[in-house]
Amino acid sequence: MVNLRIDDTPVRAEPHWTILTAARATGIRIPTLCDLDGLRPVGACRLCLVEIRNWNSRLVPACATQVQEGLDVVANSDRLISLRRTILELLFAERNHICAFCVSNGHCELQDLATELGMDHVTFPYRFPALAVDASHPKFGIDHNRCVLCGRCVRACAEVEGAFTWGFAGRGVFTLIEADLGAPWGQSTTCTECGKCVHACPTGALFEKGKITAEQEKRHALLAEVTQRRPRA
Amino acid sequence: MNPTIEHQVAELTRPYAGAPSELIQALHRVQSELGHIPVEAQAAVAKALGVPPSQVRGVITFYHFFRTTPVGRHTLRLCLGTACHVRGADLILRAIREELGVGLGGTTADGMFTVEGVRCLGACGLAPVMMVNQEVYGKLDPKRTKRILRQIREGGG
Amino acid sequence: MPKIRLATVWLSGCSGCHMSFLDLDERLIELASKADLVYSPIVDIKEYPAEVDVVLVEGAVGNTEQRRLLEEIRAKTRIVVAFGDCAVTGNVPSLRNPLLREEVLRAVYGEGEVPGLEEGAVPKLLPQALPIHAVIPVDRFLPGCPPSADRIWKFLQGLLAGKRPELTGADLRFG
Repeated sequence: MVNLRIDDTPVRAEPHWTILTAARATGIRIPTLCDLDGLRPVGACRLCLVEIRNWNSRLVPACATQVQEGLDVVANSDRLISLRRTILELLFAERNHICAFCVSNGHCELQDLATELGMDHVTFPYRFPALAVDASHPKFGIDHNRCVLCGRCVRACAEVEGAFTWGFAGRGVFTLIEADLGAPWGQSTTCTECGKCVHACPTGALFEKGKITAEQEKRHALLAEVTQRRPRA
Repeated sequence: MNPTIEHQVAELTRPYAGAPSELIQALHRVQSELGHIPVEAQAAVAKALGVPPSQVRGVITFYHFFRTTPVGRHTLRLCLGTACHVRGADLILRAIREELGVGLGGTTADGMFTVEGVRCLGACGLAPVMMVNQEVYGKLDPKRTKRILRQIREGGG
Repeated sequence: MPKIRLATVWLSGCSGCHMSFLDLDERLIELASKADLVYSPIVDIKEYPAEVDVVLVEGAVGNTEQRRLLEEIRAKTRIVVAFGDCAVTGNVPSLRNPLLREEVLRAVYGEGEVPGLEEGAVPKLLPQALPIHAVIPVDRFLPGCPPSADRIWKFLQGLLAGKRPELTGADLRFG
């Protein structure tokens, strides 16, 4: 076992745990967005940034940093709240996140985070990019306006379903989640129509057709359940 | 899928067959032979190396070096570095667009010109600067830019 | 204690926030005993008056008239409140922002004379519908589409008690 401190609480952790796992085991809340049980952590969204006091107050993503003996972690402070809120505001400013108009209104992780972190408005100018909706798939749709590029769909498709349909195309703010070689989703030759990407998506970017907002609640626990049930070699 | 391209790519990628880690090398080889990597070639590379198509596309769209459309006979590289930016590279770009009908990353319909933006050509004293093929043109203004492009086109290249 | 001079304004929005305001129901009577409504789409006053204590601004800023009014409001008001998601984020009116203004107007009005393209009897449409804090400094944000009557009441009660109301938790929810 490894001994560390999180928000001045002594924590005993398994050596392979991340700081996030240790914090959760102790009941300390750290906000996350790109993290999802059942998928490998990538540290992409930076909302789980924590401060390591004895690493010169360095900021590290809790989801992708392994525990170490003697770590003195700050998981919640005014500085961290302000940093996380800034990251969140940048996410909102980057694309067209219009809650009132969204199929995930009321059960969206991005919307919940705004509430949790006290974001009452976005201080950055909105980019208002012109982005498409791909509704070519018979069962599902992808609305790039609502995508935060967390990559949960990409990982669910690759790591759990093994189809590798989704990928990141382009770079920076122009990155889009696209199927195969960029053809419309409905023409994908690798998609198994399993819907795991839809249930992995934290926002309304991936959605099921023919369902109203109230029915659009996602089963985020699905991927963890599937991976846990899978027989191990 | 176009059988000739598939065959050609299979030949070109033979040294990398079944080796996903050689993706970038394989794409380089295909592009140097075909001039660009059309979607059929992307699919063939994916198949030959055993890489998911989505990851081939991810790599191709990430690196500016890879092109998915044919390049024109003349490659125009407009400098967008700091000095050229300050000296009005945007006005030169507008002139290029007016003259050729395409902007950055575009190729003219007649296949004569491909326009690219680059970060610095190392000729800041001549800003704003562009290169057409191996020739450097400095101290540009919109009028002169259009004249140069017209001369190249009429020269038949 | 003198009565608070309260105003409400309706810019580019659906008036849903004002409907929610009216849903205060019997609480409106208590509000009326503590505040005078000096300007609002629901009272018949044409000019925005001077020395307003609090204004609730519903809607995004979508045209030149609204931008002028906002600037006037800022100059004459102590506390400007962005009232509802359109004022706070741009919300539904901002759906047009990725499109060109002229394309939007042509799609609505067809060929020929298009009102809003240039300054005229109808004010000119701005290139984008923006949250009001993109145009003037805003003191308080009251999100929601619309904010519920309970949320509005919680906010107003703070104001009426002479405090700077601070919404937290679920009361900050967008949508």
